[in-house]
Amino acid sequence: MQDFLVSDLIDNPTPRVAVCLCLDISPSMSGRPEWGADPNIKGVPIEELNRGVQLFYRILKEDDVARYSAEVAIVAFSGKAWKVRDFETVVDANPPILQLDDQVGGTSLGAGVALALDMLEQRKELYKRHGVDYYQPWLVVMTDGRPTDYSHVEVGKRVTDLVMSKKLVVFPIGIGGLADLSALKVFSPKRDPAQLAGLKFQEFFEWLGKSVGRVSNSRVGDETVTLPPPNNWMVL
Amino acid sequence: MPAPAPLPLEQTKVFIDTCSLMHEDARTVLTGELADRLARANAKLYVLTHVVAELKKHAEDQSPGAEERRAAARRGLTVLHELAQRKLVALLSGGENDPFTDQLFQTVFTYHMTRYPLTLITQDVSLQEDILRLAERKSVHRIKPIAAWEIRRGRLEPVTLEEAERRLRRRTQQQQGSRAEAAQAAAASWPRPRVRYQLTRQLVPLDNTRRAVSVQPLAPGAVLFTEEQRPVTLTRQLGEGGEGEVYETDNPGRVAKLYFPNQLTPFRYEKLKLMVSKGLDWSHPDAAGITWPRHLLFDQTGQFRGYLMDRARGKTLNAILIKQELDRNFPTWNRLHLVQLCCAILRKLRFLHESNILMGDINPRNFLIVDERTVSLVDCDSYQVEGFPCPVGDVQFTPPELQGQPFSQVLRTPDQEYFAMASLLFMILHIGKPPYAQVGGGSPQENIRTMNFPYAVGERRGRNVPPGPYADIFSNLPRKVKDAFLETFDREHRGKPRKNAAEWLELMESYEYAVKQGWVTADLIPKGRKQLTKADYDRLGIPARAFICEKCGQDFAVPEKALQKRAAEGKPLPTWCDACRREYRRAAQPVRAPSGGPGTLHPAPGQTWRPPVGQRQAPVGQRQATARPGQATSGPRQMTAGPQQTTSGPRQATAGRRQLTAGPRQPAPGSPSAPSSTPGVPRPNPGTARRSPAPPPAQPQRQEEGIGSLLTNLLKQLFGI
Repeated sequence: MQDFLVSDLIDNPTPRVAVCLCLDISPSMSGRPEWGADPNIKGVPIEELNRGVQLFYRILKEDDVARYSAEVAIVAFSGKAWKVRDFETVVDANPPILQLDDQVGGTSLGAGVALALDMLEQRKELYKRHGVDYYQPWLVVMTDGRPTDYSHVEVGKRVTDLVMSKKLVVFPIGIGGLADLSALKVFSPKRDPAQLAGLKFQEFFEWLGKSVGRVSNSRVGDETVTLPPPNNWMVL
Repeated sequence: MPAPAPLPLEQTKVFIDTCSLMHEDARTVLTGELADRLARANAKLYVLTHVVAELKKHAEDQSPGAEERRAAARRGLTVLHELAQRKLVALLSGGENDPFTDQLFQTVFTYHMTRYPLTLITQDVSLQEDILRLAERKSVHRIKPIAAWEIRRGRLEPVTLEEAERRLRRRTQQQQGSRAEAAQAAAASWPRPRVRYQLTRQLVPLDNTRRAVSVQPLAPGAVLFTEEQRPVTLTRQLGEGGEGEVYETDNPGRVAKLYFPNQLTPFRYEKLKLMVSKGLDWSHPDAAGITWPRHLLFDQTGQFRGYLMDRARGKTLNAILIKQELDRNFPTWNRLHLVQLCCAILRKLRFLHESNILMGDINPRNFLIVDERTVSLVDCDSYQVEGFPCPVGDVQFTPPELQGQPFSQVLRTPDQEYFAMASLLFMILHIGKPPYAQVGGGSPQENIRTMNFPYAVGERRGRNVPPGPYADIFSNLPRKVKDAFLETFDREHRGKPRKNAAEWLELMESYEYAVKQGWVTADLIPKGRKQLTKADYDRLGIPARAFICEKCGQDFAVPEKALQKRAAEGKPLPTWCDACRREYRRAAQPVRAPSGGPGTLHPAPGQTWRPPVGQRQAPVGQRQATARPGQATSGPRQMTAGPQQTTSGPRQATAGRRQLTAGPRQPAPGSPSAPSSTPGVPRPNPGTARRSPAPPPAQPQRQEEGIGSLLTNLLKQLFGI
């Protein structure tokens, strides 16, 4: 069935970094307290999120190597999970503008992450089949509330296995003061989930873009290369 | 076993080749001895019209330098004329569809050899060997004697198979020998750099403890001073990297690299002091384009800030390491340019290594190219000199024995550098593909550590060869280059000293020569595996037989060993060349353009995405769960089945199996046996094709129409036809 060959994976031999953005689009991302958002945060999270994602792609495109190396996929979830974009190399990619879900409701962290993991796995198989080198893939999970089901517990085990066997790098990020960091913790055996300071999506995605760029450029020993420190977007 | 004494010429059907007709003794020998013998036996000399056409072509060639050949050809035509007047010539139609005379003889002889004893008079050693080999064919019974004769020392002399083989081998060795000699002479005459750094194993530790905390800010217009107190004014910022900024200066040929404060360490200062004071052999021709630190730069407070270097221009090597980029930046390039670029880079590396300098961080970003001959080396401050290590590296170019080690604590060896160098050469030649990238591979580090080199070399089969043009590119490299890559990269050769820059340069210069001679393809993307012609096999001393592809008309050769194997397996002779066969098979495999694979929801660029409207469930505002636990996969995505997909290996990587696509050539029916008629050349009979997808036999129309009319004129002229 999967007998086709993907021309991009043949003609572009750059070792790949697959990055899956797993993003919460449940109603609370509207910023409205009556829909569950943190009243202390001023602004519309989903709008800032979109701006951040645009910036992320832009930063990657500006790098000679990263533009051919980074492959970004987007999963959106509320009570269900949706594949918004499958992996594509950023050079020709245009990020979508996400709108939040106002039909389904709920927040199934597990559904989102499970879908992301499946996509990452398939992509890895494609890399292997095409003889394309790949670095450890990245999973970025962002949510602003509490999960409304327990699916993340099971999925968390899957993630932990991958992280501990160095097959995955995970960044679980809580948005706003109502984010359930302990739920996010199941995805992060090695470090505590980070909390986004306010709505500093742009700072976060700039940092993320530059970090992915570093991997793409396969530099080693460059400890002195200056990156914005993560604490400009993170609550310490 | 010793060959039996050849039959007297006149008792066989005698054919003659163009080169013998053009021999300086042709007249004496052919109109004398040969003519007498033929006349006495009432026999004729068989001349293919193609030979006549060739003679005519040479006889009319007015281009400069062709005078001798013109005269010889005219002589040949006169000889033929004379013989024809004595009614000693039988003209045979030479088959307009067969482009090369030596192919021609082979085919004609193959056709006739079970009927008559045959002789070919030719000076061409490889043709002699070819013709004599026909008699060795075991699959055909009752071959009549086949002989080869040549004009030697004013007489006609027979040639044995052993003699022909011996001469061929000697010729090959001589050719190789003289080129090897030339290469050695060139190497010996290369001037060694007059500035050489000391070799030491004593590492200078990094000592990043004392960094500058804050320094005077710099901006355009600021004045700095060299170690000789000369002022340098910064004009315009050119760029910024991880370590600092680069500025233009009031000296148009020089730019300044100014470090960020936290990069101003004692280590850097000491290293740059050494590099500036000792310098390079600037007079050396290969030193051009190396942006070595020329002067140190200090600000007005006396604080060390950076260094002055030559300005370099060009694009980094990344501009050619993806097909898309290569097409965009250098659209006119073909393989020759890539090889020449490798040579240019190697000359610089040889110079550095002979100066006892190692680049250390060999990677595409550190090379700027303007064209295939103009290369600059940048970021020279990171090079390894004396005890100062190169503290940075690139994972893709780090040899297995260095993977995972902290670069700042290691003095690299030349051998380790050669690995990085070979990796870079490989990637340039394969348009960015890393040498270890393979089906089932992992990260660059893992692949390098495993040291499984996937490509086939000679008898060694490929394993997990990545799909795409890469196998074809590799296959079309000269054998020596392939061997060199194999020895550098494969675990079986682990521990062997790696080839140095001078050795690689020699290989690449030979490669350049081979491309210019047409021995190997100049295509960026070759159309198939390397196809050796008969001449190639001759040069290599491997017995092989020549064929013409029925699809594309190219001549190709197959080693005798392979043919014997085919015969033993009951397979008929090949009729399609390798490239056509592969293209035919490749066309059967679908390739998809978008990288999303199946089931991608792909909104138009930049468009808004909203969750698909499906179930109307809980009203907006309630965050009560409507999702049931574990229900993770409903929704509009089309997810293909789980990860355990195909276990069959890559489709393209089947090494070397030659598949049949059409039946063997069959002679045209009803050929008469009388020698004076014109049996001509057998044509392939499409009706005998066994497989249904057999291609329509393409009549290779290689020979220009012009010959046809030349022929007519010639025939009229010579033979009154």
